[in-house]
Amino acid sequence: MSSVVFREIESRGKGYYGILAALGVVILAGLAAAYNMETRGHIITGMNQQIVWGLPHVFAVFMIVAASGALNVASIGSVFGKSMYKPLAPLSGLLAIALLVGGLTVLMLDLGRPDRIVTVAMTHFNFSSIFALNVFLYTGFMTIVAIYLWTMMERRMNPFTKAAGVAAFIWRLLLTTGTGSIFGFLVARQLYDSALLAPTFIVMSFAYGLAIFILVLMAAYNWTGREIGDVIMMRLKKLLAIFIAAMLYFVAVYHVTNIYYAERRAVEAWLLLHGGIQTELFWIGQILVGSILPLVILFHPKWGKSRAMIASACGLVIVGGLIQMYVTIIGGQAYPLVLFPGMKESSTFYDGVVHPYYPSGYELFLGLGGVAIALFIVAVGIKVLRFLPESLEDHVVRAHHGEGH
Amino acid sequence: MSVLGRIARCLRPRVLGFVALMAAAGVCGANQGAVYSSGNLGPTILKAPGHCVRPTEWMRHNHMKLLLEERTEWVRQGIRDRKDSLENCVKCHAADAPNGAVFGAKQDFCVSCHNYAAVKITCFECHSAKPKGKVPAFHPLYGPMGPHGEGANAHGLALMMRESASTGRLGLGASK
Amino acid sequence: MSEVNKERRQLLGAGAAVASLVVAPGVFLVTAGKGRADEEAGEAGPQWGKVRWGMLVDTAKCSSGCTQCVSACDKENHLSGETLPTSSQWIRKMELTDRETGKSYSLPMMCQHCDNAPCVDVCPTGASFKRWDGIVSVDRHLCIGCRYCLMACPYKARSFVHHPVTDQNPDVPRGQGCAESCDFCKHRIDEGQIPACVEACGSTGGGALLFGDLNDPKSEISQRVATIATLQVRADLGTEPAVRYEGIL
Ligand code: SF4
Ligand code: SF4
Repeated sequence: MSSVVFREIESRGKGYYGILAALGVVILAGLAAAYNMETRGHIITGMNQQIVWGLPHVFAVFMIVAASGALNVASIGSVFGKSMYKPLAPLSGLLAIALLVGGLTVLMLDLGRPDRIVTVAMTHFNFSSIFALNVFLYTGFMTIVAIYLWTMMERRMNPFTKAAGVAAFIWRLLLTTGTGSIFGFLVARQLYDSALLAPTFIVMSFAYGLAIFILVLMAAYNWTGREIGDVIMMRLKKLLAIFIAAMLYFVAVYHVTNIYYAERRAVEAWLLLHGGIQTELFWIGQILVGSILPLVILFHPKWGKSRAMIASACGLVIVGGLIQMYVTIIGGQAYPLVLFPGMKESSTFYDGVVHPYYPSGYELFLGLGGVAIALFIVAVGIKVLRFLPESLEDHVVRAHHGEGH
Repeated sequence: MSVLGRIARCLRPRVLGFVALMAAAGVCGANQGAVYSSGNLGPTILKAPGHCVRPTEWMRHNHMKLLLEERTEWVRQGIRDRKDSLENCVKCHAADAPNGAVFGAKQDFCVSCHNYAAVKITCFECHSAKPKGKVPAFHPLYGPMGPHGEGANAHGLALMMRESASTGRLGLGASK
Repeated sequence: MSEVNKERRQLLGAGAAVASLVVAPGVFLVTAGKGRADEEAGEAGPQWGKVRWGMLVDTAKCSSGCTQCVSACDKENHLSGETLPTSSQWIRKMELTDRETGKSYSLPMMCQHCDNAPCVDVCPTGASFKRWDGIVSVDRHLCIGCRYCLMACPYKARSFVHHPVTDQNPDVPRGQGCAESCDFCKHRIDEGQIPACVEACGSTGGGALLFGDLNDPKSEISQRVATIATLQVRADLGTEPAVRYEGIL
């Protein structure tokens, strides 16, 4: 790696600290929201007996899924031997840990009894529960990625980078499978009960993770006046386009197979045709904004070369991803359970009706707080440690690329 | 009186003044609604009718273990015949409280010590701090024997409790 | 229970009583399904599988205006009785209309006390558990309020306590931030009584609820389910509910 020099970013005075301060404010707002939710109870949120997982889960699951995806760049570098990506590996690892920490924080603070995280959640395990398994998948992921980072950043450990990278890659697949299975194992909910959910989550994680990675990379380089060459940018861009297309394919297969089950036709018709806000979010948010538009931008002969347009494509993927999570998590709950197939059901407990959901500010800020935590970790990380190569200009990358062969 | 002799033997001198004070105030004879205070040092402990399912000293250190064990049987196996259940604790210890509860006001049985030891109680976020229905005349474990009859021993225990109250070190390694 | 047995049980102590397995200091593997502790406790503890409480609902006797079971449950368990989207409802009356024939039914829906309970499977801490006599409930001491069980229950039987709770029934502790559901009034069963809803339905309702031990071949409920056609709701999911419905096939 002789030709790539890693550096901590130099403080650019006001700009950098301004960002940290802004993130700090959002984090505080998130913590304040969590504090209110704990002391006053979930009654202050928009969640209820029908929509039991709300906006915090949307953010949390999105970040956890994106975390494993953010590691991809590193995996491609060290597992699949594409040396061109190697200089980006440390940032990719850092981003993965940061996103996971952010997501888990939100998940934990959204518990009904967050005071029992240590006294109960970390000491009592029921291993038939995917949740309990995930506790180990998540902590294991952080440990392995941390070791992976260490092997990359400590010269003497470099020989072990590949092994650690392979371990991290396998683990991230397990992790996303575990996250997808949280929903996939809910046999009673028609929109969740599908083995396709886990692989769909993996593909989604590729796209979200890479989009976030590209954005953070561009931001970090821009703000510190470093250069990213076209070679690396075009590679990343192409990769992102492939991931988005794959995601679109999986979503299509998922819905088409559902339509083939007669019992699921009603719920599919609801989601795809007349589900009101959920239908709009699905078509406009998830499909148009999150998939089609970015694809158009990335493949467009002119837009696809503009940095600003690539950045907006990444932004669209992230926004679309959050909406996709919303449709998956909230939409899946909004459609009523079917207890008696063939019957029209009604009760005081809202059987047989589609459940509305009006998220509160507390939930929104808790979710945003988690995002801010992740970004804060990245910002501090690249400042104090050498996560970023000094330059990713073409000649540096090419030289390195050539060396790798 | 043999009981007083027993007290004299088991109490250390610095406590004697306190006991004497209480005796003078006629508190020893009172069975209902008595409040024992160690002045401004320790917690104020409300006395319960009857006497406890375990020696006071033991309870002071171990009541949480007992409750943990009991709650697990109660909840997970449905064993409800244990005398040392939280429900029974509440029955006795709320009996003479002004608000009829063990938790809520500052002088309540659980609150006074826990405040003193700065240990948060979470039991009553879910559990009722008030007894169900009528308070039993006797502690369910000891039946109608009470402090009289075979009660000499019971009385001794009650006095031990007062002693610890007076040393003002509850829950945190009270004096031997 | 004899004094000797009681002594033995206390000797076995917390280690055997806690339905869990200590794998490391302070770390428990909760055996949420079969009661390991019960097996360990042997004759001293309750016998796993000896009893399986169940309920049979005769929909023909249940009329659509009647909510006696619901009010009895609210009263017994100190539920608010409100029906806001955030209110806990352990039992509810469902009105059904056959989409093709137009025939309508009215029936109570509550926790079905599944043999293969999804709520127990998904609960990360083992707070959702099945008792030795088949009753499924939440050990609120272990519940972290993750609400996974609300997501997993096919019958929408679980509620999450949103509202602050005061003045609980001393026999039914409940509080904000935990999941809860019908537990067949296990505090009453343990004292030899029947669930409050069954009692109310029998006295002031239509007498539509039959409660008993499904594992006792001589019990009335066992004999009825052995002779007439009954329905387990969403039997296709394989949850094996202990609540059965007749007159709705
Ligand atoms: S009905 Fe729901 S809450 Fe009751 S045992 Fe079955 S899954 Fe659990
Ligand atoms: S809400 Fe409580 S009982 Fe339900 S799955 Fe979570 S920890 Fe278990």
